[in-house]
Amino acid sequence: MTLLNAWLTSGQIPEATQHDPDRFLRWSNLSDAHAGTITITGICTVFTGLAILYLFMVLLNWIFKRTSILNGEQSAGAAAAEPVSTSAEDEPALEAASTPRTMGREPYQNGEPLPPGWSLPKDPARVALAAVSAALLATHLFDHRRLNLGEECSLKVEGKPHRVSLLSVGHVNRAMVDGEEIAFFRSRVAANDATGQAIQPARSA
Amino acid sequence: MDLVLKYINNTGFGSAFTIGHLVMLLVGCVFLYLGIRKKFEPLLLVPIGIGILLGNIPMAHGMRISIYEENSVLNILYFGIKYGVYPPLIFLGIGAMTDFSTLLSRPILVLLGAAAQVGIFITFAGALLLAFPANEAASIGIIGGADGPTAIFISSMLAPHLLGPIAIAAYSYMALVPVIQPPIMKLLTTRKERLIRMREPRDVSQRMRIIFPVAGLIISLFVAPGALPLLGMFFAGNLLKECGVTNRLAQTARTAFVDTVTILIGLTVGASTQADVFLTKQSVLIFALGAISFACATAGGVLFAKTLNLFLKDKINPLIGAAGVSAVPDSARVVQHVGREDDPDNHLLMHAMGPNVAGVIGSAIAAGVFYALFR
Repeated sequence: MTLLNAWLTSGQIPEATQHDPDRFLRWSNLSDAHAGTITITGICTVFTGLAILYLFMVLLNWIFKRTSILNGEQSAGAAAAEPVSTSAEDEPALEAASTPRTMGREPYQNGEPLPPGWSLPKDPARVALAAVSAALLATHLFDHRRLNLGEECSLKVEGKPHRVSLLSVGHVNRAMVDGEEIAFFRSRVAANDATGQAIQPARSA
Repeated sequence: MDLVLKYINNTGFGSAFTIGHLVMLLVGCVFLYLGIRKKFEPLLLVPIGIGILLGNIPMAHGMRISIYEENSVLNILYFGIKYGVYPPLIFLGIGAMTDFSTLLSRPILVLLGAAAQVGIFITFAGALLLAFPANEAASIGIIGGADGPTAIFISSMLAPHLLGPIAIAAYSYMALVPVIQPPIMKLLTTRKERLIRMREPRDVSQRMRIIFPVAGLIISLFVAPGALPLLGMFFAGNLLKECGVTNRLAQTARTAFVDTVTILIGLTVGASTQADVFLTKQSVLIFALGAISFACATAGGVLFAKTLNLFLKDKINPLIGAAGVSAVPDSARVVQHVGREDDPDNHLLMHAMGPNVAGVIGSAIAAGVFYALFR
């Protein structure tokens, strides 16, 4: 524990840091114990820091969930908090939720109301379009091409090229794919169910 | 005639030319080829390749042109590397690009970011075993964090004479993430595990996304104050993005600002990588240790995810553990591709972004630990 004490009190380790070329395949300037201590200390520090962050995030999630319940947002909040599984037994629930609704503030699976004039697509082709947009979203955010909003590019999805451009990014993202505007939730990237039914919304004609 | 001879001697064909210059010029051309033709991280490899060419043109000393000559243009730009200025600025831009909502919706993923950092410390121990002094071993170990700015920051502080090979190794391995990670991921997981579909991340409110960078900054810097330049700027950039009232600043930070600093980092790191430092046995060892570091980091994240699944009811796809390596977002994209090989409808990209951004924090904390111990 000498090394830890030295670190905590002075911030400096006691040994010098001179390179010794004659000590090949041996610990260079640290004793075995000190090198081991540093290694373990470092790993523990990283885990401690991120574990504290983890606990804080859990607390934050709990506070916000409690707050939304206390504010009477149970029905929408629960829909937002409860994940929608893509397993087979949940397909009937998805089917009911995906009945097209074009107006009003009907809650969507995520608890987010559909924008006016938007409905849920049933066409598998639109699912593919949504997947293309999701790929574009990934490239917009992360790719070296760094596409700007509105800038068109060509993307291949499963061997088929598509003309795509990203229109807006947010909880609901919008893209123009092959001349057609579609929307999708980023958190639901191509999360279509087993029947190919899309559960992303799209603008109705 | 003397004047003509003097002039010829001052050109690249003069007495300053060595075989080392030729080799380094070829290395620069290889980097340009990988970046332009193969599109391996071109935003990094192209400026570095140009920098290598700039820094390895043979010339006589005293002309105030070389990067190591006082007050030359390259030397002035090198200030940002030498004094660790550029990496925190890069982190400001990265923070303005980062979205913590996936992490916030499933906090357990943050521990995968921690697990992947074991590669740093395993490599640190390995470098000590190979007779590198502690400060150099720490700089080499940080390559395993797969974070170029962090590697440059720590090397410039602890082992500036190794900055060139360490930076080149770090950025090279970042570009090779799609090559290095998939075999390790497939080796350590079964097909059944790779088919695990994770539940969709839930929506995260803006208020949470504002609170998190503030709290994250305070918590992580209390644990590792040495990481303040990096994590402070990282969370600052993220707050600019999430608060909603500084969109112009966030937009600038994640576009022109980070691109400008990226160019300067690439050019100056490349130019500082010269034959007498790069073409040595040490560099070969650094590259070898860097590969080990990456492999251990990938394995650490995947194995920790498998361990967590022993206790979790809602299983994690262990592939996303590999994204704990903080090569954002390449590791997450590799996870997406490997996951879709077994199940084309299993999109792991956004799930993998959780450990990916956690890994950025984890590698910066590790850097803070090394800085505190060996400065």
